[in-house]
Amino acid sequence: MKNKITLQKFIPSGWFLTVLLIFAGWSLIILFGRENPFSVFFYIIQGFMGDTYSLFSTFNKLFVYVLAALAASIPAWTGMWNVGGEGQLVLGGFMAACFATSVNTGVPILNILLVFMVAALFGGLWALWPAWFRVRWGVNEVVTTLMGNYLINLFTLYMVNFPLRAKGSTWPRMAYIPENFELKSIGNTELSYTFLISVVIVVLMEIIRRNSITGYELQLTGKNSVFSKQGGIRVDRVKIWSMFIGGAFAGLAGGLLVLSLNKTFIAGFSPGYGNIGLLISLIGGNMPWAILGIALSFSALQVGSLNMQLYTKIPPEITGVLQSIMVFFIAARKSLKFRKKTGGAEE
Amino acid sequence: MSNIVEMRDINKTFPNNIRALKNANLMLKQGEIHSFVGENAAGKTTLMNVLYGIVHPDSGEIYIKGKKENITHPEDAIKSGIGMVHQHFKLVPEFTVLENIILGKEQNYIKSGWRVDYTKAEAAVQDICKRIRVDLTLNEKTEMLSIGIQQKIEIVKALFKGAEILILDEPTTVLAPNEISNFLSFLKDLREQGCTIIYISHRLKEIFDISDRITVMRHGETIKTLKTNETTMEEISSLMIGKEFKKTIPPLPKSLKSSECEVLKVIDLTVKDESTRLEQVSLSIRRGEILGIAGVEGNGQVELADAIIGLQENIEGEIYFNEQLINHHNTYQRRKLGIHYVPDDRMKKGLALDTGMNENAIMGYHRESFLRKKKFFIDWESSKKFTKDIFENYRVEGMNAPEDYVQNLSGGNMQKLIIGREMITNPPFLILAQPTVGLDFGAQAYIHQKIRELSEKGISFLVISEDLDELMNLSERILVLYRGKIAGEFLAENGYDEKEIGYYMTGVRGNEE
Repeated sequence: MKNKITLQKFIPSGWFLTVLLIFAGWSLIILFGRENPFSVFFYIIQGFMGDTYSLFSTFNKLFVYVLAALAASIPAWTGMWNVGGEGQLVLGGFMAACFATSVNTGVPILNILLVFMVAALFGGLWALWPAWFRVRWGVNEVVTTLMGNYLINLFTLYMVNFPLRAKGSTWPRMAYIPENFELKSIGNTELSYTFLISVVIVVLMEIIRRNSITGYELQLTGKNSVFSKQGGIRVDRVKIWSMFIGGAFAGLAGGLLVLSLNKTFIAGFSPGYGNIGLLISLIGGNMPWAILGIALSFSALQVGSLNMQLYTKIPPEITGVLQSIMVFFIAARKSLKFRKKTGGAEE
Repeated sequence: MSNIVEMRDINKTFPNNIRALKNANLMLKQGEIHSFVGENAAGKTTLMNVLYGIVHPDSGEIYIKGKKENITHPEDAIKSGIGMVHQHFKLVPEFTVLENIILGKEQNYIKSGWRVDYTKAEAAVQDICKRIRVDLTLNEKTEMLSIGIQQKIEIVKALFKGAEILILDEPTTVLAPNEISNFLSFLKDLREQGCTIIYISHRLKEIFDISDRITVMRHGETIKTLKTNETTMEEISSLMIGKEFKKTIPPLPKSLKSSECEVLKVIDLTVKDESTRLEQVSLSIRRGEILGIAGVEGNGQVELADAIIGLQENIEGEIYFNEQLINHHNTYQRRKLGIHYVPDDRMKKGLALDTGMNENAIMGYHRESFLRKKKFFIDWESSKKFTKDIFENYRVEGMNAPEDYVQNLSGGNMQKLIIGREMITNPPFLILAQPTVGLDFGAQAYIHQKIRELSEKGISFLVISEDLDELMNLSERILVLYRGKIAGEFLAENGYDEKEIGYYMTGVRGNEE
């Protein structure tokens, strides 16, 4: 406790300082790469918002991070750990691609909505069984959801390599989805509908979290489930539903990836989106509005680093390092704030 | 005798603007048992936490053995010879007694570089045990031991760390009645060995039994320090509440005759998990009746309450509420019928500590129409009003804003909040488990008053308590639970015999086996 107190004096909380520290850390890394930090920052910024095209690319990538993060945070409200966002996302994408390549109603909007439902359903189901195991037999959901990731990754890898592989493809992938399944951009812009969908979902979830009876029951279950049970909340049911909804968001993310960016399901479909989502959810404190902001910065870094790579000697892999520096300082700030809050009045 | 500890003009204001200590003083003499009394939130625990380095005072000075000390961390306190035993023990259940005692000091007992030298450590611990005359089996696992023994382990542990001054924060609340007198004489023994003890408690009887001096605290101030043999319980009580204390708790009004209508009926209730928790328990409660359940903790009281409210699994038997079989109702449905529950552990079961006071206040009512708007949403404005109602009607203190975390309240106020929450809507039937544990006289009397008022309105109560005085004051009938069975039944109209009930509680009488 002694050390914590002195630490607080040196690092006053405040977002301004956190941001400053993040940039300082970034500059240090960039200096190691023998580049001028300011020019690198300039290229990154130019890369993600230099013109409408780059700005829209940033927005169009946003949905994966937002939905993958929500996949972890909705269960976290009830005290469940969903670390299986990755598997749920991949399964959602896989089933979406399967559906799109085998069923076709001929009506684009109907096609798309059906794919949404299929992707969300399978993502949700892949989160449902760990929840059920947890509630029924007390099996730790961290283990089951994590194992679920490997199952799905290997299963889909096999499927796209052998039975479902598109003829003549050099990289293992399924056939491209028909054109009337593709998710178009809004109007004449380059902005995809996925951006709109993710923003609507965030707003909806934020309203549910703050004001709804459901949100109250979910969160109180997470804070103290024994207490909630006594208040008449059906804790087990609430936990199972929260996992299903979380999984459904991850599955939807996979489905949207297939319909908007990828147009097919390929081997190595997700470069760890589920895990990044878990991270975003953690540093955002499971709050949808915070998740939106952090997801935006992740997406911006991702898109901006492509430009950085073109004009500087910094390799794009450094993006991961920059992300971790950001995560580190945000997490550090949160823990400092947390310590201040504890230690209330007892008698 | 010189003062071994002096605390002068200690001030502390918590971040939520609650002034916990106002120029508090403590003059502790070598080798005395010094009691601290005061109402809930009077600042007793905070003052002790200052001495132990958990809370940092805004101003004030601490002298230990005449030397000014700056205690910023419990380590400093331990170095100065201060040990504290908390209300909730901090023992590792899987460890043996010996391992628990030497934990944190094991570095001093190392052999061949890295192994703990248990023989040497055991000898050192045995030395202390012999000195203070406690008999501990050092190689037993801690989880197997009773709470009374665990408490002794905590004390031995503090002494092992070199404590000469022991701070005991309400040590007897966790003990069964028969363990208490044993524990108190143990403390007297410690005093003879030269230990100085600070004793915090609500129970005046105990305080007068063991202490040399008593300091009364009120609203963060140390009002007065008195020699025990020069004062009376009445004087201390009136100092505590700041006005002349009348022995309240009027006898049960005779006019109160419960009507014959049965509200709750339990037939042959049996609860089994690994062992049998409840066996063939049958009871019935009439309208307006207050039924007391006596018994030492862990004899099936919690299981009985949980079974009635619908939290207990694996039950056999039948439970009727207003002649309706409710075995298969879930907790929500039972609450809807009007069964409310004040659980025995306010921190773990009664509240979610890191959520707002209003969020805690509306639990169980959050689906009711008076807190709802547009079907799916919680009306936070009404929730705040509802919270304020509870705070006003049940004299809960310590709220700045309804959204503040409930952990900012003191233990007693938490309990009042829970009781208020369950009582304020006048449900037809209430289960109260340990309703006044940790409450001061004023609050206790007030809660009892409320219970009586409601029972006269026809509301029935099942009161589970370890405090026999409380049960004898409140209930018309007392059932004694012993090892999951009803061992005896006592009626108020025949007059209660405390000793006799005690025999049934400890299994001396009843249950022919």
